[in-house]
Amino acid sequence: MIQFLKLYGMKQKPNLLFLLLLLFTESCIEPFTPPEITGARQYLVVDGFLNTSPNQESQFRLTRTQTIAETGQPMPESRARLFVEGDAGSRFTLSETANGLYILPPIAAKDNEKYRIHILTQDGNEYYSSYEPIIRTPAIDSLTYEVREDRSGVQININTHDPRNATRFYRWNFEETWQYYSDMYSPVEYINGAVVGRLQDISTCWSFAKSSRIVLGTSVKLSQDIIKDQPITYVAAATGKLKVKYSVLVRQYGLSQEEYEYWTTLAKTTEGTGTLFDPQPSQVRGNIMCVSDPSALVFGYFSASTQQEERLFVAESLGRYATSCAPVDTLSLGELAESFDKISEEYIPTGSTQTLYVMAFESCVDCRLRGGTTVRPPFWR
Amino acid sequence: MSHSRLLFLTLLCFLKIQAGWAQTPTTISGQFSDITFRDFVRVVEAQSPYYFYYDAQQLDSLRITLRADNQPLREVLGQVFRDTEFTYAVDDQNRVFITKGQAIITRLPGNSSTQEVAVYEPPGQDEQEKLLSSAENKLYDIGPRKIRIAPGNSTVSGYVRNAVTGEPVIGAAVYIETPQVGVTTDALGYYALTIPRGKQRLRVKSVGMRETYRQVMLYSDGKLDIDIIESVTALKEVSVKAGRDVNVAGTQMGQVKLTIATMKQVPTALGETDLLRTVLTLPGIKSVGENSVGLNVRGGSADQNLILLNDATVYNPSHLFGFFSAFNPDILKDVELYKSTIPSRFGGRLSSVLDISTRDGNKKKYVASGGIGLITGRLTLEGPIIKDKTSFLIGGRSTYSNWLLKRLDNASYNQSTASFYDVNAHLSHEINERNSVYATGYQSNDQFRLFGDTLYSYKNQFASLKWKHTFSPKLYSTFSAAYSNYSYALESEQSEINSFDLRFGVAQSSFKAEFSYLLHAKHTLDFGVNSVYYQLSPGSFQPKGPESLIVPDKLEDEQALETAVYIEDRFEVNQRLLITAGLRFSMFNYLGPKTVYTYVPGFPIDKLYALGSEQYAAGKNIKNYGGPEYRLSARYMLRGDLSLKVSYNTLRQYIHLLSNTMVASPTDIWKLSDTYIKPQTGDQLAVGLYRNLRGNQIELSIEGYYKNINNFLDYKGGDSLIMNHRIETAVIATQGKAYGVEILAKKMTGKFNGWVSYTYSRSLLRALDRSSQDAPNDGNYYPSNYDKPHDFTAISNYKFSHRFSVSLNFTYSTGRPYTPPIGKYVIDGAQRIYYASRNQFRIPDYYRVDASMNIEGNHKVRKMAHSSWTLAVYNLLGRRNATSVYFQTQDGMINGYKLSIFGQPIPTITYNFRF
Repeated sequence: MIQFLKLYGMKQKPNLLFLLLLLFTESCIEPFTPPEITGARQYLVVDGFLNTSPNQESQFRLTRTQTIAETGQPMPESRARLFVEGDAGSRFTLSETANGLYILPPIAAKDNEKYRIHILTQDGNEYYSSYEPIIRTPAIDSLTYEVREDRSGVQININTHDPRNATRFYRWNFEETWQYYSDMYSPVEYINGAVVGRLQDISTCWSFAKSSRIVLGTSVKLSQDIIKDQPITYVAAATGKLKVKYSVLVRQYGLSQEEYEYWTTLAKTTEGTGTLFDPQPSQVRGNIMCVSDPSALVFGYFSASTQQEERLFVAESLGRYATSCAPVDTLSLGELAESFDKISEEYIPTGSTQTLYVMAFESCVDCRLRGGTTVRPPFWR
Repeated sequence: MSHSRLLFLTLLCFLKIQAGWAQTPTTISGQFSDITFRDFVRVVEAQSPYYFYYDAQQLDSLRITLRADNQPLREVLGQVFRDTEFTYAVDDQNRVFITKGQAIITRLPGNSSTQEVAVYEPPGQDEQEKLLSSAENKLYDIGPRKIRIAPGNSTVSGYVRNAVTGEPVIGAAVYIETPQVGVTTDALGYYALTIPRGKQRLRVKSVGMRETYRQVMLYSDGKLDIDIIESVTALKEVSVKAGRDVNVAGTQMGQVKLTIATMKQVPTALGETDLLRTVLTLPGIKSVGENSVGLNVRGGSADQNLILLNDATVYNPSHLFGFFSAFNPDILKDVELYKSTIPSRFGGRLSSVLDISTRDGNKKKYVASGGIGLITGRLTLEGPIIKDKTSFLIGGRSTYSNWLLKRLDNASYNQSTASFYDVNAHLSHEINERNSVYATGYQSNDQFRLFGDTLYSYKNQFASLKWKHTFSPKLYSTFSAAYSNYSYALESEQSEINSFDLRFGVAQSSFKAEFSYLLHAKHTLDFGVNSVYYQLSPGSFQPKGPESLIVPDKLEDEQALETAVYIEDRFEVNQRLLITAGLRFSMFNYLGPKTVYTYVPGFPIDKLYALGSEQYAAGKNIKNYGGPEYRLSARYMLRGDLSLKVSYNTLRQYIHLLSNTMVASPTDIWKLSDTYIKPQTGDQLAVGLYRNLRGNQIELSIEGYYKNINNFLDYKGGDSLIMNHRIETAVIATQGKAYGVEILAKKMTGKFNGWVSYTYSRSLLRALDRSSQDAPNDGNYYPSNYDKPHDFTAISNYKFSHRFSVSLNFTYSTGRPYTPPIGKYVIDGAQRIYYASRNQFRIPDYYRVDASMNIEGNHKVRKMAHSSWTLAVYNLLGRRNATSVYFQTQDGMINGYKLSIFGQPIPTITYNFRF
């Protein structure tokens, strides 16, 4: 609702100004690109965490910030030297496996040691994070779902608890996969002047999405460290993800209080453009500092924790089949060569010997055109 | 007065009086003990050749006790009549004439150069004309008549009124010349002057009024009302200004009084005299943007100003999102702004008090006045209900922008509306000399609909009732009750399922009892009580129409009681040193019914750490705050025209305006202090030097101040304040400091007048919890939204003639700070935008030149209708000053824009009339 208000309440106000201006005066709007906006430095961004789960590697991705006017992917920071250092003297070196991607093979982290990341970039700057304790993330107890009464969607919830009462702060992210069908089935295809059976089924696809929302939870208000029915995401039937089968993989991370507050603030400021009446943003910074140049900002939060994950399948067949797909034409074999449409059906009219082909738009028969792949994911069941 | 009498008085100048002792001296001896004058005469006549002429009736109550030992008659009579109003004269034939007031002249002029004693000091040449006035010639007896006037002081008090309209004359100087003692009339035109008993000449001076005096014979405390006449050249709108030497002589610092006449000289963008725009030209007063009327006084926020219109609190002083101020210029008398010394009778806000008074209606005749501008029209009617006793004043103002919008050749504008109106009514009634009552009512309404979608509306309503009662000439009082209500609403009917109706309201009922007691010639005590009951409806969000799927939501109402008592003493230590010391004690009770959310102890007040809630029943105290406020100020006269003033003030504020937008917006939320939100407190130390030059024509001042503010609320990044059930989690308490120097040179009289001011000031904030993730700028000080270090203003007006004047204004200020997005990055799979540290960059500097021309019709006093034209050009140079800088995401790109509202010269024309 607040979002809604923002949409209708806040964003319109500049228009009100424009309106009044047009009415009373002649105002003008000019592009405004002062040096502080165009000339911002490109600061280091550290994305990753020390994964202390047994036999799991840790990944850190280093990039540079972009000015707001730049387009394209952020520039990776290559050939940096990265170390994970413990306050009791352990030291591990990371290796760059791809442009800007640094990998640390599984390490045997000690529970009573605190770790930090140490980065030496190619331009000669040196960065340290603060020392962070290892958070032992408890296992996920269960991942459940609940169908809304009116069958308009599914709420995914998580349950976990820490018998040691030590974790208290949690973050989750998730990956969604869903199976779907094309609106019309195409059993045959036209290849080199002949109609043959399809070699590859293009009516069944799987699509993927990563969470972009930051999901956080805490049990500090409870006497025990229990997270019950914490909402992870709501999947509306209208998205089409639930028609056939839907799966979500949820990863759970234990956090320190500082990291929890960092993610909370980051979540609040992900959106926002400073119009006159818009909420003002705040600056979100992590726990990494540039020691060789204190004025340089660094983005990202270094943490050390184990990771827990759990997968859930939902097969509730929710969502209506409303489609604009319909046969568009009926063609003879000779006419097929000139058509861009695909065959959805073949039949022989009564009293005729010639096979006719009922045609449909390609987008109605090929599910891949809607973003998915026909390759069945290995975890699918 | 006849010519012959005038001649006689002139001749008196040159007359000398010859007394009887030129003859063979005859001495008087005797022992008189409490005898009547008649017996005394009998004794004297028996032993001397003198023969007395007197009015026995006048002298029958004079008792004489003295001892004479061969003393000349003159000496004896001198003792007899000492401290009385009787004088005597003795002629060549030993005749003694006893008269009251003025001695008989016993000789014709011409033959001697040895005489002494000029009994009557005649008026100077320039004053003689004024003797025409019979009131000035009359000798007024003050107090019960006595034959012998005991030496010492008595107090004469009363009202100074406009002889034509019956309105009180405020700030008029009432004084005597020897010794130099004077006061100025208060807000009700009341004065109380303590002077030596005996014959005195009370002078009354006030700008725009004819100077006058009253001759009084002061026997004891008493009352004298003085009617004064306007200077003929001044139109009615020119009202009375503060005593001219108040700048130097008062203890008040940082106090500015603007009259409607001054306001009228300042050109505005939309052609209409605007109170708040004029206030903004004063040193130390800023606003965030051109379209905002939120005042930032000496580094304080917009909610830290107490805006009173005839004692009723005004919550939103603007129309049309700040393009106009909410006050109809035709009904205003003056405005007084207090920014450093805040009198103890005011409280509840940290930065300033803006005390606006409306005029009383004309008590003698009916008058209509009004004006027509490009956007608005206004009309005011006034007149007596009971002549000289009761009058009314009704003013209305509205805009015809809706009509204009409909004319626009653009469908989306045609569907838009923008309108406002305000209506004022004021009644004043004088019951008798000791009692008068005043009633004021106000209502305004604003509405905008944007492109046929959301309808914004807001409403200001208030009413006040005031009773002024004089218990005695030394004790007078004012009792007032007021009610104010401010509410706004947003309604959207764009799509049926999303139609909603959002409402917010704040109301307060207040009662005040104020007393002023003239304890002693050197002490004046002010004391009183005031109490405010607040009722807030922090928001309701309801579906609109049967199709709407909006889930209804309502925030719980809030209520609280604020009570304060105060006492203040104005102590004139000596001619040079004047001290005002005040103490105000305020109490705040946050009252049920209310559900108060609880949070995990030891963790920040944040939604993340929400625990449960507690219920409080109606009327139950939820949280109390209270504390003393000190108000001290002192003036020391270094020289006659140069004074040094120091003031120290502490203040408390229990109501907060929560805003997460750059400018004060009508949809900002008022919030009472509660369990989590502590009252704002502030203190200010100010020092200033004041000097008047050229007989008070030019006022110079330099003031410096340092201010601390505690518990000022700033917002947390990205949180919404609208319909937030846990508003305490969306705000962050900050402490602020503000300091600055203000230099002002002002000339308010003469053909060329105006003022020039320069201000250097800073206003900085930092989070109280500096280590919090939400602390802006890593917990370090950051500039507030209204931190504009340099500010220069020149307001000038030149009167070519009484009918034609030209004004030229210049304003410069440093650009306001802003927080731009300066970069983007990807973390955890999503793009994030990062912003510069809060308010570390500034939008371009602001400067503007305005000119206006005022042409009046002729000034025949008895003319049927008076009219005037105002032609003005706002932003003469057409500079594109940035009103706001904003960023919009378009196709994944973030673009910056600069909006200039008045980006070109804007000519306006206004027609004003009065008949």
